[in-house]
Amino acid sequence: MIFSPIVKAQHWFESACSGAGYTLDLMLRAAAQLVHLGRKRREFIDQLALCTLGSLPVVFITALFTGMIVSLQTGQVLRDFGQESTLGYIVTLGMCREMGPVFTCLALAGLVGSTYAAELGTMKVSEEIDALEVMSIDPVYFLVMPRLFALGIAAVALTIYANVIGSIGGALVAKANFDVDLEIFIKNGRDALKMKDVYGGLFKSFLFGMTIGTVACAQGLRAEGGPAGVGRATLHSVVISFMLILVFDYLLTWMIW
Amino acid sequence: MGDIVRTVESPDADISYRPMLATAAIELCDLTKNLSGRTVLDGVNLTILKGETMSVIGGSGAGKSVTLKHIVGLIKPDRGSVKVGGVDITKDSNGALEAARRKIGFCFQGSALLNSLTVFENVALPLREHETVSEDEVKRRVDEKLALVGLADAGKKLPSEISGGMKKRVGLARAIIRNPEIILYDEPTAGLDPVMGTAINGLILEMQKELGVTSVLVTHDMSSAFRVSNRIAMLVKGKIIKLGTPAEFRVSDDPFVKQFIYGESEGPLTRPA
Repeated sequence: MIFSPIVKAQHWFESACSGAGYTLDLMLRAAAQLVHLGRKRREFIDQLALCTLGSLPVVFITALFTGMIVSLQTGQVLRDFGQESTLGYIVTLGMCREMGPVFTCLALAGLVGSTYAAELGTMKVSEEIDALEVMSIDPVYFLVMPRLFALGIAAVALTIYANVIGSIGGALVAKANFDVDLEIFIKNGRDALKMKDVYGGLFKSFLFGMTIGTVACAQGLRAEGGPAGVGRATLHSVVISFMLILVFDYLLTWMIW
Repeated sequence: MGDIVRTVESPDADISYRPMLATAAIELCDLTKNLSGRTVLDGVNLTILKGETMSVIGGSGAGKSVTLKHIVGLIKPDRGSVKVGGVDITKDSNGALEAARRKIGFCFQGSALLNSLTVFENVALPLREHETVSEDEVKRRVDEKLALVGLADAGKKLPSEISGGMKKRVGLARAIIRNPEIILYDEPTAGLDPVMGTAINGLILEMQKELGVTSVLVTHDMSSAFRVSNRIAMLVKGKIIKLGTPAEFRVSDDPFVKQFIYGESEGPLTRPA
């Protein structure tokens, strides 16, 4: 009895390692299938449209208020030092390096990642995945590869959109609350940004998007036990994606800047 | 082929009367599988001959579907082997498994149609993915198979727009689109009304008559098993306890067989271990 928690911890650890291995293997197998993207272009375009158009309203709200909050909080501190005019610098840099990629991809994990996990999980428990295998159609080629790369590209496109919307939100608050001219805000923003900041942020987004897609597809493909299993796969997909985005964000920030 | 047709018309006939069926299409040798700590298959040995229709019967959890999934490599055995056309598909050779799957069509219990595709696209999927054929040829072959299962007008519908019986028939059309040598049916009449069940049984017979395929059914529908089978194998707790013709099953004194055939609630099948 005394060993029960140890045994449970061992099972959890083995399960986590097995899941991580499966997920990494899935990403590599999907990458190997990328040469066949042309044959799956219809599916790829459908998924790209689903990821981008379906997420635009949520990303708009998320990015707008993120920019506004950053501007409001930092503006109040900067005002004590008479430095409100540097808000453009901080907000734009913050959006492009951190807030844009992270918040966009957190939204994508909730919106698209959960959809992927539920969709593939349902296909798994209703034997559609088995049917593909019996027909010698690799589910990684047929289902995972187009979803994965659509999400990676959508994450980059939506991050550019979020960076713009967030900066506009920050500029509006800077003007309304701290009387910072729009021209000064934009000029400071331009001066602050280097190509490395823009590309670094977009690189992060791409990796986050791929991570969300891989985790979601892996959870879906490993779902078992009927509707309850699909529910668990969806939940795990979102939770694991959220954690990985934050962990990878720290590591990538440390490596890039 | 003439012998096969005669077999279809009198499914109770003894298999040994047909010398053309003497070659093995599928061989299960000492097949053993444990799932979640339970022995689902316990040393199953079974040979299915070319051109015959074999039904595997047994109660829920007897290992019927697991047996079928071994034949298409969806499950790997813990011990033993599965040979399709004389080639062991359980060895670590993807080529052997792929070649076996090329010969096999599989009708899933829940049809397993891709819900995002139309009926036509579902049936066309194996053709479009594996064969270099023109769209005109795809259309011709899909229309032909849909007509064979009586769904010539359903091509544009989504799986969510058709009934369970129609889904089973679409699943059958998809399974035969590449003219397989073997068709596996997982509970083909489960969940269907008697009329639709009879229609599906008619299709199974027609597949053998028209295409001369080897068929393996797993079912607990005895009327279906008696109607379409050349031989029946009964699985109980992962072991085959009886193998014989439908006529032999009908007159069997085996308490397991009798209880299952007559659906009695008391007997060895329901007795606690």
